[in-house]
Amino acid sequence: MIKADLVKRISKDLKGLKIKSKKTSKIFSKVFELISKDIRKRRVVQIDDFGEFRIRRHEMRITYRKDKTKVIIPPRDIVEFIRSENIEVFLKPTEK
Amino acid sequence: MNKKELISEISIEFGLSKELSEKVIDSMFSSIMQSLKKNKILKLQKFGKFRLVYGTDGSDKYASIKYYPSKKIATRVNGNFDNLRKVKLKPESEAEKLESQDRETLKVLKETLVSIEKDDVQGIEITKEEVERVLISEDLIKLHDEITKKGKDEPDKTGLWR
Repeated sequence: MIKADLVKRISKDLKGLKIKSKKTSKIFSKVFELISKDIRKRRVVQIDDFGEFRIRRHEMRITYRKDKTKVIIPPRDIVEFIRSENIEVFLKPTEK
Repeated sequence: MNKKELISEISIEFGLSKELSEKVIDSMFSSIMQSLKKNKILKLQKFGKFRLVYGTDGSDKYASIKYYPSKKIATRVNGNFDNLRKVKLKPESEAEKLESQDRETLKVLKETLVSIEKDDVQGIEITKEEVERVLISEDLIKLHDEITKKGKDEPDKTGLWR
């Protein structure tokens, strides 16, 4: 699914509130721009009923290959997303 | 940042009331979840990709959302370590292994000597030589002899190996 489809869906939901689809598209872009800005500044972003974006560090580690060569893997910072607990029920697969 | 701050930023930027901007943001995230449930993958330009994953945990199925950030975000976040690469080392030969073990044990011995010298034990005088003799085991002496190939007839200058 792409952004345009999402924006259509959102403007359908907000029909009674008289917000044009152009404006909803701009709001959509702005929201994710703000979230990505904060992530790049290494801040935790917490959104109720959706999830949390946070930075996690993988420490340096040493692994061994089958031919006994040592490989040193450097440390790395990654962005982790943890969904909020109350949306689990919504996301569960529907039983046929 | 949390939802309240987002709402206030959006209301300021677009001239909407806080209630209205809250409704917009709520409908935004609920439509994201609905699209994820339907299509299982959602790609957002310049932000990243969300993927819905089902797993089994005993009898029940649980759902989790995996997030793959865009390249820009990932490189910016990993800025401190971005220039580091994986390093492959050749396998150690047996002689190198023994040498490295020997070095490590000597290091440990030196550290314990230093710690003993620092601690003051009342009324007991312990000489450095006595401590070294106590700490050095017979196995180490044998190993040292093997590595250096010193014969028994050779005189010991340090006075430690007795």
